[in-house]
Amino acid sequence: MQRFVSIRTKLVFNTMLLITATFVMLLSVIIVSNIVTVNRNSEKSKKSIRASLLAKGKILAKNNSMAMRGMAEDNSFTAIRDLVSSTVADDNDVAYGIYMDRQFIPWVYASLNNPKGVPRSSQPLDDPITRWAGSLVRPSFKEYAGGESDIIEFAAPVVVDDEILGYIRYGISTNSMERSILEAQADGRATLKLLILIFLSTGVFSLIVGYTVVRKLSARITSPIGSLVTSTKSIAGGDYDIVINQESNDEIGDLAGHFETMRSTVKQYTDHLQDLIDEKMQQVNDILNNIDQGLFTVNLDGTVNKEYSARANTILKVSDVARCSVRELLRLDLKQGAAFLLWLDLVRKLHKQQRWVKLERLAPVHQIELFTAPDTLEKNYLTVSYQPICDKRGDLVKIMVLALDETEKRMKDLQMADERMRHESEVKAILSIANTPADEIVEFTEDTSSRLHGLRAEIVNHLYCVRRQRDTHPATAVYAITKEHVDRLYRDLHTIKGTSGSYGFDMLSYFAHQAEDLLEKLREPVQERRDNILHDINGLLDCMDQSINDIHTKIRLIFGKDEEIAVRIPEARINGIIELCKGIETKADDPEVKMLVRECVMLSWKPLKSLFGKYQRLALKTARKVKKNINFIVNNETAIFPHDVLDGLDDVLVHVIRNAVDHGIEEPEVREELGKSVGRIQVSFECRDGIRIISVADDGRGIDTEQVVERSIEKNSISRGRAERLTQEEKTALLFKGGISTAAKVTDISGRGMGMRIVYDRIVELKGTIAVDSHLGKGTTVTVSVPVNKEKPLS
Amino acid sequence: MGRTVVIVDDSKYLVKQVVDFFEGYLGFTVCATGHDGNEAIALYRAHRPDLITLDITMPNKTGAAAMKEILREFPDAHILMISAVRGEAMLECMNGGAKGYIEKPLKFNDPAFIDDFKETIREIFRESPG
Repeated sequence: MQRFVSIRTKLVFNTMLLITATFVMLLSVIIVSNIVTVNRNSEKSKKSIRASLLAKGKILAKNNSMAMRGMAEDNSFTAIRDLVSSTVADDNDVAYGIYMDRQFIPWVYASLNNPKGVPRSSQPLDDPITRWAGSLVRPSFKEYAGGESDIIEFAAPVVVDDEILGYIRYGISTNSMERSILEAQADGRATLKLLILIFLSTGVFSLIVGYTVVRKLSARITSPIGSLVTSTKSIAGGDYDIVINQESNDEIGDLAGHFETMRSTVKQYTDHLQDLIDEKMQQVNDILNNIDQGLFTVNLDGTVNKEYSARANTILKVSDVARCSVRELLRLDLKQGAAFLLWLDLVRKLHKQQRWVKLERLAPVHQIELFTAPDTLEKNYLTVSYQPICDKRGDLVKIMVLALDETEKRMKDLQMADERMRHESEVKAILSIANTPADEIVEFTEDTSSRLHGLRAEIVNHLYCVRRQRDTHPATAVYAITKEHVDRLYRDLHTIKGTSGSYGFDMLSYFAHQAEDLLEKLREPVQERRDNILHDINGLLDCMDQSINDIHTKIRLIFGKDEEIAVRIPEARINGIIELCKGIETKADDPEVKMLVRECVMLSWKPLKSLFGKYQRLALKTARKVKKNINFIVNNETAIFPHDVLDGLDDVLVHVIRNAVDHGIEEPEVREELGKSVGRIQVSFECRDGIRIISVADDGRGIDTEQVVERSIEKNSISRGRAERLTQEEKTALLFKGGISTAAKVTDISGRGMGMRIVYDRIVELKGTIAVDSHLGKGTTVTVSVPVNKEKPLS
Repeated sequence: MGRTVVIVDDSKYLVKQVVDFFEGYLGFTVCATGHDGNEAIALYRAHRPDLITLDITMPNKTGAAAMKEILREFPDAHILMISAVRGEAMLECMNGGAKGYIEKPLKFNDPAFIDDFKETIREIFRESPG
């Protein structure tokens, strides 16, 4: 993010920068040009001073050499000394003056320190300059470094008649020249200093003036921008009512004008949109108010939106749907609440790929039960369905939840189910009566009636006692019924429940069961008023009386009048008749006599249903033990056979039937998974040509013959090579080898694999055969064929 | 070239039915079948099928646990849950990465059930081309 810098700051800063840069540049130009000028000037004056020094020296040397000709010829020391020393004294530029003869012996040596010019010694001079001067034949000059400054020596020979008599020498110092140069340079520097000073003060002044001016100017430019920015900020925040003023007549004013146009357009547009939204919302509200379902919407984070249908509060039994959470509305427990969020997450991810109907099924709740009012036990039943709500791009935005009150429908369903149950139990009772020997049924009704009578007497007595106690001790009435009493009542009720159940009188059994439950309450410490419970039991006894009367009516309808039903003949008498008949049978030729004899013999025969009764009970008991549901069906159950027709087959039947229940029939949850209804054990019996054929069929899982073979190989009952060549029947036959069980676990009922071995051995003993027909997933049928007379084997 | 599938269910009878359906109706090649969660993982490793079907309640290791292990190893695995378990357990499987689910009982003689099964398979393979 870039740091915000206002236009004004930028303007001021940049202008100051520009002014400063200009001044710095100008200053450096001036300094450079000043230095160049000063240098050039000092060089020029140095040249001109030097030229004038040279001219002066040359003339001095030349004139002196001419003037000294006579003086040297006359050896006039004094005249020469005077001339030279006065020349040195008169001119400040002349550092020294020397006259020496041909042997370099100085006659005069005048300098500033020695104005008279008397030489310090009369020895010849010996230095490089003297040797140079002594070699001259005409005037010349030479420059050399003296003590304080450079010296130019001008020398000339004094010639008389072509003969050199001596040499005149003048040394001119450049001191004055250098001094004037230094002075010129100092002047230049002073000028520069002055210039810089003037320039700097001008610069500072310009900066101050520039800053003030630019600040004022920029303020004038940026203030409209500032107000424009404030206005646009408000517009960006959604406030389209702010009017933008056109404050200036430049580009910014123009911009403000365009902004204002834009604002008013956007405002018109949003106003129009708001109208549209209001209209749509009105439509939605109309729908929500008229819809007959509890409708509300849930966002993907699980929050509930504020729109909901008018009926939603009533249906969901809350005061305001919008103030409730989803958990409260759909009555979700903690776990379901978490699952609901998971589900929202899932549908968000998958709603584009999968059908909604599949996703909806995964929602944690589809049915809700609510109490109609806080203090009733009546319930309302709601069906909940979910619909996705997507935006234009097809992304899921929320879920619509529809709750439909189905209490009425449910009540009707329940009523119908109730009616159906009554109807069924009625039919069942009729069938049961019809299929039970009349004497047995009559015995049952007599027994039950007498028990009910006894129960009634007891209950009435207890009710009387309770009332009496309350009358005598109104404040502390506590009537406890002893355990023995309750136990006795319980025993009778339990017997009624059991026997009526076994005959298929479901209603009677149901009432007895309810009465049992109420008895349990009598055992508990006094919580409720005893007489309430007792009255309830009394009511149930009424119902049971009614049921037994109904049964009685049915019995009469089926069997006719009472005297036609109950025919009880002691077995000894029947056996007597049979014995007599057997005696007659051998003598009689008359077919009618034979018929009579036959009928008499058949007096002791029993229907298959009762012959297999023992095995039916065994099967049901086994099923209860392993928590399975079965129906035991006897084919052709009314056909009658001699009572000893199953003799010798007990072991076989016990094992085969147990196997069918324990191994054949699957666990209830497995059957449900497979779409199978209650398990079925179907037995059939027939006797043909002296051979008894019994088959026991179940509709269970069937025998996995491959597994039988595997187990046999494991047990070394058979080699793998041989096993591969077995036919299906032979594979099944391996079951009879013993020790083979395909049961996953050994129960106390079966699973050790010995059952089939026992069956097989027994059948061999009886000279019979056994066949197993099994289909995986469909069931198994075991068919046993055994001769009536075991001495006569099956062919 | 048809897609490949591995079918795992503890009921042999159901495995057979599902195999018949995949081969007969959907034109899949069934590479292998298994009967518990451990087998499911081993078979997936061995065959790397296009699809694996899992029951939830199975001996040794549940289908849900097997699903997690398979997905940990093969994040792109296509898993179809076939189970009588409803509600939260199935929801968890779907959230855990299963691509689809079929509820038992398997009513292979109900046209609506078959249509749903086919559509579920289509949905599973729609998201990934090829």
